Amino acid sequence: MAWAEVLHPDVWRADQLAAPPTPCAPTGWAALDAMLPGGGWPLGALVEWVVPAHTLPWRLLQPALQTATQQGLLALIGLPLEPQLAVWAAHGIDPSRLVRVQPHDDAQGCWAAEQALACPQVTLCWLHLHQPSVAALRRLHQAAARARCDATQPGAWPAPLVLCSVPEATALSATPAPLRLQLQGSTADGVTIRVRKRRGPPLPGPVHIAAALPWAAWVRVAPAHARSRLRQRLTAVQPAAACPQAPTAAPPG
Amino acid sequence: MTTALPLWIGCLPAHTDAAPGPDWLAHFAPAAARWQDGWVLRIDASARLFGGRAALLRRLWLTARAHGWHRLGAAPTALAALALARSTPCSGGWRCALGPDWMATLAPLPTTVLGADLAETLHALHAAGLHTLGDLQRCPRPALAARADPLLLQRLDALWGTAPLPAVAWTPQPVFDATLELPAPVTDAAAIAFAAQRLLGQLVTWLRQRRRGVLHWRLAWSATGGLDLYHHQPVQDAKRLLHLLQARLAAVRLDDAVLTLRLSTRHTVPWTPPVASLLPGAPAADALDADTLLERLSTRLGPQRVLRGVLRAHWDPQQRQRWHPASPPAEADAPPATLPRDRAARQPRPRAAAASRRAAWPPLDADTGRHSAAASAALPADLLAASLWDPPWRLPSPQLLPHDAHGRPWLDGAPLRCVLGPQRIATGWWEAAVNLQCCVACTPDGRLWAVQRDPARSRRWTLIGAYS
Repeated sequence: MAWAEVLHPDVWRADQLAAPPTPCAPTGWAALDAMLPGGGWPLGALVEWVVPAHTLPWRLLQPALQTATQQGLLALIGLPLEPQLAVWAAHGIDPSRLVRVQPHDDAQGCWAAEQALACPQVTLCWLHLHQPSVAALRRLHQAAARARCDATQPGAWPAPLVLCSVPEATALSATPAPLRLQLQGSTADGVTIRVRKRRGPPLPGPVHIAAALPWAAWVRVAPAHARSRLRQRLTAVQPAAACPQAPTAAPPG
Repeated sequence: MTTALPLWIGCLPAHTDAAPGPDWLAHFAPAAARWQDGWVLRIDASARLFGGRAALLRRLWLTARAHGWHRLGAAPTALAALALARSTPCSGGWRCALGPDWMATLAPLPTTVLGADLAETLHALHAAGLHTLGDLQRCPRPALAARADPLLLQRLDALWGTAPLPAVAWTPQPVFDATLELPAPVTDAAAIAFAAQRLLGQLVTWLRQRRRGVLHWRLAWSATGGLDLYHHQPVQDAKRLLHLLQARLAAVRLDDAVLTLRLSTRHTVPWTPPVASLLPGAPAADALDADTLLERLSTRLGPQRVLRGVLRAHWDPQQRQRWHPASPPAEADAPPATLPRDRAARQPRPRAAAASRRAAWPPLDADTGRHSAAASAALPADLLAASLWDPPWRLPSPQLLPHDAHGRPWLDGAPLRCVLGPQRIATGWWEAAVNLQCCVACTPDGRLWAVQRDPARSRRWTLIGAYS
């Protein structure tokens, strides 16, 4: 049955991660790479993030943001939070390559994202939708699939990384995006996410990715009840490799 | 009987940043020419028109001063006039050598007035004891030719009037100006875009014929009503111009019925066609350009909604960044029509800042390694290190947190606990008095938040940022 995958790129074995239909870029976090089909962020495909209130993912995206600004422009469209540029610069993200667009509503945000994706110099497009709809997400995914980057430099991304963050409260139950992640929480030591949808076997529980803040050692230890609850939640899932290790080829689960 | 000597004017701006526009010079005589850092103009043919040489020179001096050109020289040759202008003090002045003994007036001038491009030759001659123009004049020509740059001899010939100065005469910028009478009065702005298509077609043909691209153009439908459109790069593409015009017109409300459309260029520059890339992976030739993208976004959404951040070294984390419109200049950036251009250029005003901001856009095609270094160079290393403690996301406006009976702030139904800090920022004499306490706080699930309060004003904490 080894030929099941060659029937069609959209067919994959239920217990394995699919071969990626699009090129992928390593996320910079080995534990995260191991969970994603293709071993990294899919380029030219929509990546949906479900985020809680007052938060947006950052630590897990930071290596990708850094690579994106080295290769081209970064378009942040309609994000509810303002990037603190000094912090971004301290982490190696070039703030002069960043454009922040604040549309009036989601429809204009979608339009702005489509325009940004038509520009080959935009290497990362991040849109935030307050009221996501299947139509908007599908439109965005199609624009992402059409988008091409300037890939003349060696090692350049052939297509942009397209992120769409949606609030937890209004997130749809199903999504047209091939990859959907949910940001559950982030402590000083790492980030907890859930993989809600991927081209591969479903992951049941939340995954803690060890990505400590630079000053995590200075943070006073959390009170006992919180720690035990946190540990309870985290031990339920598979152990995740820390960032500096080499990415593992074997799929989890 | 002596024939009247020619009369040349050389003028230099008092400040090097003065705009080079010689429009005012062209009022006095047709053939103004740029030579190195100044302008030269032969005006003896206009003397009768202005009521004699003395009246002409007086008027010229007053006009030049009004336009910010404070250093003037008048002499029978172009280079002599410019040399005299260069010998005036930097703050401004007027020198002339018009009599039959004009060569004697020029003789004591230092040789450096011949031009900065001859500096090396002149330095060698200075070491040989030739300090002034008179010294050079006394040298036998064959001996000078054997020892000095041939350019020096040409320059000396032009100075003493035995050869003309090879300066190219200035020609005014070509202007496209076309008017279209509409067949019927139009009250809808969208219909204007349709009618303007024909004018745009004419404009693009005109630009192609002259190999120019437009940077600033105006579509007017009445004496006061009209749109000014600006571009970063010269544009020759009719489709792009039309899209931009349609997006701008969508936001326009017409007060009155429109009968006439007038399209005119304000600033055009020579245009070089883009070169096709032969490398694999290159984007299509008709793909959207980054400048076009920003132009399109800010035209439709408004310039205040398409922003670029600029870092600045500041002790207050909140002030370390500023957001500016990323778009091409707005109407406010246009040079004021009533003010003389050079005076406008010298006034400290936001336009200069806007220009430098536009120039600060890093080239996208350069290799990648240098840019991250350039980005961190905007802030000193200690501020960058201090920024590592700040939250990567900041709330657009601080959010006041509810408190419980013990005075602890709550967020999303959970109490916040301070895990780092409080860090105190207090100033009394910079910009505005600030007294802040900042903390990194933690909700029971381990998520970290940046909170702050001003203890002098209120005991309540506000949420300012999120770690993620």
